[in-house]
Amino acid sequence: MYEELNNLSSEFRKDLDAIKSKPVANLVEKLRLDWIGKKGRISKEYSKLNRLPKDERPKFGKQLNILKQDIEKNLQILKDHAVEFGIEENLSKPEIDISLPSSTRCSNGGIHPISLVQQKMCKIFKRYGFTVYEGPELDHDFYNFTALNIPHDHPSRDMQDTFFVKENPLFVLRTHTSNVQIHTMLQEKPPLRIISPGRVYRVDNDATHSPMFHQMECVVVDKGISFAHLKGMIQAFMTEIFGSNVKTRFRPSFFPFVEPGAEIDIYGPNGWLEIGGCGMIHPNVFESVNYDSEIYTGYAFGFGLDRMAMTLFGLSDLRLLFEGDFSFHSQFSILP
Amino acid sequence: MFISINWLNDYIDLSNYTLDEITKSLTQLGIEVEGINIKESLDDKLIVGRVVSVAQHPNADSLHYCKVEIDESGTHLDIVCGATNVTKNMLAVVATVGSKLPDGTPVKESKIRGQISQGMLCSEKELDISSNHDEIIDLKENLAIGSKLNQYIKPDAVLELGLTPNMGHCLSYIGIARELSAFYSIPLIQNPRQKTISFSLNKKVELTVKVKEDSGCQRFVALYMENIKVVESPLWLKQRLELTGLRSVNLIVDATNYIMLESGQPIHAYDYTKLDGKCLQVCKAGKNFHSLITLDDKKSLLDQNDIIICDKNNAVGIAGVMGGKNSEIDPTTNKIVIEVANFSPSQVRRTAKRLNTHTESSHRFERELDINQPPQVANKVATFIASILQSEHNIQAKVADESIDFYPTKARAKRIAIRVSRTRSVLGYYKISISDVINILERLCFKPLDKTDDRILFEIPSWRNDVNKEIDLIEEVGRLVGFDNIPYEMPKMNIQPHQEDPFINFKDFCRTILAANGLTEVITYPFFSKKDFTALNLDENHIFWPTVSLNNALNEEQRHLQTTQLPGLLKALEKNRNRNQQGSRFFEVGRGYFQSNGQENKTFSEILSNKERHFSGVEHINEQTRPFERTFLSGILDNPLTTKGWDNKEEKNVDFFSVKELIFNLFSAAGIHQHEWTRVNQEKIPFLHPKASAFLVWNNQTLGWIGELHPRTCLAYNLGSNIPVIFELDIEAVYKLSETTSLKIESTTKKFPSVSRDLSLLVNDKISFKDLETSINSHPKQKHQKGFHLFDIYKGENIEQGWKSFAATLTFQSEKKTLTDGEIDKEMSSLVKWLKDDLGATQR
Repeated sequence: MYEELNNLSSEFRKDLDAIKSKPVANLVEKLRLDWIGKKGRISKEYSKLNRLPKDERPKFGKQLNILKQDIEKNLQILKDHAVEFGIEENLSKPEIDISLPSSTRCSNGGIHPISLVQQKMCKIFKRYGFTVYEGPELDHDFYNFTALNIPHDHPSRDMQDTFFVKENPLFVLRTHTSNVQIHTMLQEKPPLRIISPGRVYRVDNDATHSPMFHQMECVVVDKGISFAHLKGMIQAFMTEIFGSNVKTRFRPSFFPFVEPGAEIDIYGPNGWLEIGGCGMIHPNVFESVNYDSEIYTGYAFGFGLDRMAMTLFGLSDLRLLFEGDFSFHSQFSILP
Repeated sequence: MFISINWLNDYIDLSNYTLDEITKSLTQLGIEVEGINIKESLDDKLIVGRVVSVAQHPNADSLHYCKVEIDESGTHLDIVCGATNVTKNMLAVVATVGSKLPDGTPVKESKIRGQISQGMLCSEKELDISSNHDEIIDLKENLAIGSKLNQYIKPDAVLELGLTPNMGHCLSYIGIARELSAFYSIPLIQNPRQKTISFSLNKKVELTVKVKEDSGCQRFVALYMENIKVVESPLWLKQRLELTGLRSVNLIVDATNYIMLESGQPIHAYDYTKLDGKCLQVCKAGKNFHSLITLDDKKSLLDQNDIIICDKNNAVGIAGVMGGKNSEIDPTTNKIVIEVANFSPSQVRRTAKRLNTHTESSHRFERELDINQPPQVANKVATFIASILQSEHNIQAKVADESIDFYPTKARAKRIAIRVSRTRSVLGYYKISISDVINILERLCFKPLDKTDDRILFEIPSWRNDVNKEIDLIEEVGRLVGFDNIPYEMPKMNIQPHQEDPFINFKDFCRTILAANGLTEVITYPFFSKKDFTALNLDENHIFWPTVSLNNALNEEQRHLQTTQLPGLLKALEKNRNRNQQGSRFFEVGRGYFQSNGQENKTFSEILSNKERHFSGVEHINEQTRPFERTFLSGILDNPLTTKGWDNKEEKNVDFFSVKELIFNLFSAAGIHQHEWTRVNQEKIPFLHPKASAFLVWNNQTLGWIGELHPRTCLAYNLGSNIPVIFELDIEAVYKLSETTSLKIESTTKKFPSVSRDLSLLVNDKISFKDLETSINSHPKQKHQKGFHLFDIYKGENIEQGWKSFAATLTFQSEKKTLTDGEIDKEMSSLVKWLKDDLGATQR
């Protein structure tokens, strides 16, 4: 009878030895079930206990317990080995070719360079306390011209070739985003700092002009705003965009809604580059929105987002921006 | 405008300034130098010669064989010449052998049709004076034979200036000279041409001038001249005009142009004998005058409100725009009337614009003129003509003793005050003093009349019509101080940023999500043609039919404003397909434009019913007529969705569900969970595939549509039978939905495990997934079943025609305990029975 237990013990050792060198987890589990599971061999031995004479039972039971504990101990060790073996085995798999392409989807998405530039600039201006405003692209003559000190029958109207609405010629496709300053000033009381990005339209189509393009205008109105402040803000903005070495220049020019008015140039690798217009808001503009120009002064400056995007991304052809060439556009990122 | 530096030196001595300095100064004054054309000194070997004989070339009918004397000692050259005007004794420009023409062409001895030619006789074109190439230059002046031509024609530089509309006072040599004189603080040269001779007529002239009050003409000067001769202008005059971009016509016309360029004042000359009734009248065309043939030989139809000049019977000129052919100076003209007027700028502008005739004259009138200068200008022209006729042709022209000067309301000089304090605060240039301000403005000819500690009253020169307010004076000060000398400063402001429209941010959010889902943003033109709408299968009653069109579209293709962004995307796709680009995926954020006159009540009202995004209104503008704009997010996905690859053996095409997933991702990201899909009514979106398209709806409002492109529309955009999937969302509505949606967040974690069971059902083919979903969710004895996931749809073998199989995994979970098999079996069998009753479904 005790011999039987010895046989069991040596059989277990045999089973154990069989998988010891490759302790795969499921084999270890099978071994455990075979031996000490509910229907395992040791359990069967325990069921024999009842059939033994009473005085034999404690001794046999004790021996059986010893055997079981020994098996359990060995199984535990094997189990620990199995975990380690599993990890090692996993780590030993062949190296993958990490240079294989990651995906067979056709493309990566991207945001249009003009949107990227616009987002980037809005972020900068917001830090300086500006608020973004948008306005209508189809607007009444009053907002696009008259209120901006561009009267009827005045040569300053010729500065912008305008698309007129056929059904209602008092409405035009806005020629600049400056219409937004009128809408905003009629709604809000000073002081204000606004930026208005958006699409604008002019009757123009050649290699360097598109009938639709994008502008961003910045307007500040408060007591005591001066041309020096205008210069300061533009310099700060250009520094954020082009880096701290940027040089700006201000040339007197004419935009009807500002006075004095100036062109903004920045110095680049190809010399001075005209990048936008600016000036002090004309008292006539304040008059048309019922702001008191004796109390408040303000400045406005604007620039083309298309030109800015071309400069920042080093693009040479304006038309490429509006052709929807997929391979061109999928080069752009999502983060501005 | 072109400005010759040599000519400019007649009015201001610029000999101490380099061309580069002058260019920079003009830029700093606000006069843009757009181009510089350098005229080099003529070659020393271009000399004056006298043609001593002209003979027919023996071997060519159109050529002459000339002997040309080139020095006092009688040296002759043999020269072959093709010009029609070569005559004996003519003084001509000889390009001798070894010389170079201005364009760099070397002149060599050559044989022309067997005859030796030792140089050439030059035309104006060859000397870069004008484009005249048919005739050689006839030097009528008294020049020494053999003298170098560069003694008479000096090297020069011509600046092309870009003048903004406020710079009317700079549209002349004197105007530019005044600016530079102020900038450099150097004086102008007064009266460049001395009036040395008297040309007095000493008799009364029969000429009357009438100006109707409603003509808006403020001043009209007419000056009579007689015994003139219409001759060619001297070379220097021709050259100056040509340099400035004007063609030489004859001395009389050239004189009017020359003095216009000098003074900025347009001038017209009439042939006196052609004026009926010897009168000139300025009036509206009214009903009497319908048309006029102008000097450019065009027939201009007159509007009743056009201002014209007429004689007793006929219109003879369109005020400020162009003179009439009927009173033109011709070679026989002997008596002229010089007109120097001050017409209404807006009247001239309106007429010139309507006639599409933009002239040097109308350009200047539109920008307002110096009302004080017409009499002087008239005298200048007369003197100019008379002096040249006398000195060059020995003709004694006579000028009326007095011009007729109609000037009923004498303009008073404007007076404007400027405050030094205001100047400082507007410019941010605090170190400027009152004497600086006076000094600067005096240099610009503003005359100080009176002053206090802060305020100076100035009289404005009559040519500065652009100066009307204090701010205009401040600008002048800023300009002369130099913007570069104003410091850089940051304003000190206490400002709360205003509330920003969150929709602006939402658009950027949509861009980010779509790009993150593999789409690329494009920007296309929002213009269409009617052809596009036909291609979209739209009829004229459709809400998408073009409702806003442009009066002056660039072409018919761009006549209308878009009501859907689809055509722009389809055209972009076509271009990409032509480049063999596969799998293009675009989106665009743009606007649709609609007329507001009640059209929104048409069939597509759901999309366009909201008009809440209003822009501020001003009382006198009828906002009811404002077209309205709606922001759309639209996109297109081309085949294939995925290409074959090392980890993917099958290429997959895009379909309805590719876009549905995209929209789902966008909506989840925006926290929107309530929306439904409904079938598209063909009448509403006829460019979608009727069987594979849907509206996206929430609360009876259409948020957008998605679907496969209709095969007919696909073909119409040259996309063949390879059908892309498209979508368009009214993101203003989507945005509003995202604002009203609040996320329902379960904040407890599940303690007990969930259990899954698969269920396979046989249902009629007409039962949609949604029917199944609704039925499962409405199971009356539903207790622990929480969710289900469809993993298979099957039709075909082993399944009867008209039936299909849905296979789904159902999830069961309790918050109180671990569920037993028995509890789940019970609920499953109840559900199966319910589905049989509700949908006629049987378990497979």
